[in-house]
Amino acid sequence: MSNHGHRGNNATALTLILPAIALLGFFFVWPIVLSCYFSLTDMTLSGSRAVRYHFVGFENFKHLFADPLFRTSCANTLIFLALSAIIGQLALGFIVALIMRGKRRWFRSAVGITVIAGWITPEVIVAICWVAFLSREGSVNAMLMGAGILEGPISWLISFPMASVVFANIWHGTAFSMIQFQAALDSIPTSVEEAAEIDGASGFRRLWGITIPMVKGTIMTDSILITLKTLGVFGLIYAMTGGGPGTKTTTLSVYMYKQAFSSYQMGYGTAIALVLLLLGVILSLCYMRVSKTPL
Amino acid sequence: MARTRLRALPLIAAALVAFAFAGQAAAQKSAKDVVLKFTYKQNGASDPLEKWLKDKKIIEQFEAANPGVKVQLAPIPSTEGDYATLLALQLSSVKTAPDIFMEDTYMTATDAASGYLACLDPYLAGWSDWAKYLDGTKAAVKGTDGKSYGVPISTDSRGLWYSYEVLQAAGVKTPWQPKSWEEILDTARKIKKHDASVAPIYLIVGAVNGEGVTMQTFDMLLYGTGDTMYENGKWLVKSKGILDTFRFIDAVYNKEKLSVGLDVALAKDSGSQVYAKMFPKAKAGIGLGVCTTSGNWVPTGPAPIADVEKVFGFAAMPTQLGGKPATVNLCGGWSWAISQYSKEKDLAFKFIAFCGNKENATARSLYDGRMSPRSDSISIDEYAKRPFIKEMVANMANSFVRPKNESYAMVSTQVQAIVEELASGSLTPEQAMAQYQARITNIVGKDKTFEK
Amino acid sequence: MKRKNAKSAAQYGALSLVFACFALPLLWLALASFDPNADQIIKIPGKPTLANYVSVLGGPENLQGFLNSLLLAGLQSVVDVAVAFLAAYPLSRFQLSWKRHFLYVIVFMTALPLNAIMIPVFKLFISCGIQNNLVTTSLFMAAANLPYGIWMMKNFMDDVPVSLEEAAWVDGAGKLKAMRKIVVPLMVPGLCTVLIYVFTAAWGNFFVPFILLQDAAKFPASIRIYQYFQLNGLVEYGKLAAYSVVYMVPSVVLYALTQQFMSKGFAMGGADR
Repeated sequence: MSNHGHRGNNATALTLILPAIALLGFFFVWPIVLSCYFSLTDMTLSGSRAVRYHFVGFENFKHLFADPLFRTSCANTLIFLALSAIIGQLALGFIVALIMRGKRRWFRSAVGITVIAGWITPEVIVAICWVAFLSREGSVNAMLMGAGILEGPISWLISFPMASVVFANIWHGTAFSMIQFQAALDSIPTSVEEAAEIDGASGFRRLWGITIPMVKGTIMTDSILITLKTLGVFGLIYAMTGGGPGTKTTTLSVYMYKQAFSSYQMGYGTAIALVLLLLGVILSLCYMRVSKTPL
Repeated sequence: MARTRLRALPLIAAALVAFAFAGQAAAQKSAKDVVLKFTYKQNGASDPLEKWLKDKKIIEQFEAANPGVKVQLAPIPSTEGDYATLLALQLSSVKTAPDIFMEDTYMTATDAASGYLACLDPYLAGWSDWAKYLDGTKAAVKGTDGKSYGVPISTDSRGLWYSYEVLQAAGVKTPWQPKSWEEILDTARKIKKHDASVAPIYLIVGAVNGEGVTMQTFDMLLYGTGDTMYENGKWLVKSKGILDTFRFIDAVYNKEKLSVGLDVALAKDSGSQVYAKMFPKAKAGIGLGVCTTSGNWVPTGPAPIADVEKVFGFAAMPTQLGGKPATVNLCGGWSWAISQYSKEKDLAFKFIAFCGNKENATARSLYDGRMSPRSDSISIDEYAKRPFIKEMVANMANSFVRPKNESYAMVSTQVQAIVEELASGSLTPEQAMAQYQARITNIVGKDKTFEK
Repeated sequence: MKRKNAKSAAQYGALSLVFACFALPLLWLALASFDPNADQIIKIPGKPTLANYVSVLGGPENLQGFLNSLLLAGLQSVVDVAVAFLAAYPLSRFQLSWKRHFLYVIVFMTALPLNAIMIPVFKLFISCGIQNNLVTTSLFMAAANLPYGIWMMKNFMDDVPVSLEEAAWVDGAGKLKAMRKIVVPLMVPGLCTVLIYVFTAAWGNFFVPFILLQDAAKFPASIRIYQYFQLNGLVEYGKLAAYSVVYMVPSVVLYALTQQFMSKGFAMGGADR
């Protein structure tokens, strides 16, 4: 029965898992159940409906799907996801990890540590750094104008708001992917690649035919993890642009906050949150299907 | 080596946790005193309310007069919009609700309807000073049930700030008092034509600036068209007035580009960029603003200007087409309120009454440039001599307060969002009105709306 | 050979560019924190000073804020590592009929954006009367980071050979003793990786304490930072930068202590499974 040597029984297993189940059940599962209920009510943060809210059926969802701002937020979320998570963190993390191999040790350390510094910087501080960096009087303008590339200053956060938050999020998140890919690449036996080199495979073909398939599993897990993390990014965008100008950087997370906490529409905000949850689950399933990798 | 370091980790963690707990415990007050928890919005190190409390020794005086009572300050460091949210979160539970707190009066009706606020009518009936409060400010602290839920801290007045230098250079006669919206735009066009580097008009449009967008921009325009947001229990969601309001904003920001740049307009500190930087350098001509703006130019402000009444002027905001009424004003303001959950309501009111007496209320209004809610403040010299005070008082003529409806706070945040979307070019005026109708209807229900 | 040199130079160039992009914002932070007249530009301070740091660390409120953050993040990390370790053991070692389904649920829980459940969590805290409490807030954060912790921990544990444990049993050690003497030491890289992951996640979190804590005395550093944004919108960049630098110290220290295991940890827990 046991191929693993242990003859653990259900009772022991449950005892060991119980603390986890208790924590998750009370703080995680129960709130999700509550979410489903709240999303069917007209609850508000203040006002008479804060205390006496009513069951309204699927009203919130009906409003939601007719709400152009909801569609805008979905589109912004997907753009933010594609640019900052997949193209940004995943690809950049992979490339940095790849070309860092075989470079001088001090150089590797310098690059690695700075990238990781961005990761362990709290998101509020990331926002502050980048707002200062990109502002009209900030360093980016000073450098570009100094180099003669720009004639006058640009307010990057106003003129290119999505690009600004995407850059900040790449800066904040790339290290996670980089570390994972470093580990995965290190575990590829050098003999495999050397053999290919002797066979005369070009650099690109070696990468495509050998290296990438060997880290496929890492690519899959990393995609899931950073996608889910990016879906939940709130503080960074809220502190940098507040979702603006207008609605240009309003992602679902930001829209949920605006509706539930700034506009006090808690029922409506919960409905948005549920869509966000669903999106997370769907995307994870997609990755698993595409990569055909089981858990 | 590495292992010993790692062994130390849990120890370090445990020590830190214990340390933090100790800090928590030390923060507790001794149990003997009656403690009044007092919450207010704190803006940075030079918060005007804190300055007033400190300079005038408000807490010390009150504690000395009431032995055994301690006032515990519990400021919330936050921006304007977040303060209302955090306060609502605090008020919703008996465990966290402060006894006394400062609240923007736009929240009064909403918070009163949820039962968070103590009704002050019984206290006010026995307080002789109440007769000295201006009627407009008394209206602002009423709930939808007509009862009073606060004591006004301040009131304010809105209109057009302008620079003598900029207007004169563009060939506009000063002192300036436009008679209609068209005249405002006309003046702005002249400014732009004379010197394109000068921003002709600043309207506050960034949602991050919160309530100011609704009051200073949307309402000051809308109420000048003859429409209001809310009449006879219903919200106006579609009218020519609303459309004209959005068209005016669109003309300034998009069509005719008569505004400050969007980077300035949408910044968190847009007000100070315009009034403390651009105005003193004659780089902005006109700003539709609030009386506290003059606080930028007082000797202790960020951009002190000597003899400021000769440098900048204040004009009443004309109605759309002029005529009667010729001008329009919106009054807002803050209030002291008491939580329904407070166990020390009598003492709490005593504290509020102390803050709201003639001397203290007047002194406080000198700190942030808002107007005193009391009619007798003008007899105090320092207040009567404040720059622009005559214009401000005269400006109160055709004044409105914000709708007394518990949905106002939610409607207002939608207005702020829509105005920003419009000004930043995401919506046309027509789309903005369609959005206004859809979003307001979503909040209040179709049966509570009407069209004109 | 020439081509290879050119390629290598190009790679060094590309990496240098990445280095610059990542270093510049931090450089601004570091320089501004010593500059009494800091603004948004990267520049060497004219008169370098420690005044910003003195001001940031001088007030009891800021110290309290950092302590609160330490309590929040520290407690939740310890809880997470302990609970995840216990849960990972049977998930890795036992044959259980419901294991696969349970793991699926755990992975989907990592999928849930935390912000999305803050509304019901807030209501739940209110109805249980546990809001405005650093310990319960910390426990909530622990729960939020737990699914990922369990998943990583289980993967690490799978890589610890069972045969070593079995050998210990043969020698007469009990299961518990074998776990302590054999599994735990071999799991150190994994424990460190989970620890730093959950610590940084909680240490930087702004939204959860923002909603669940109401007393200014209990605010962590991520909320306290707003004091440097003035009423009129002016920002005190020097103090803000000094505050930020101080705020980053614990993460950096923790990383420095654990980094030698990080890469190894990720390789073990990696994901080729």
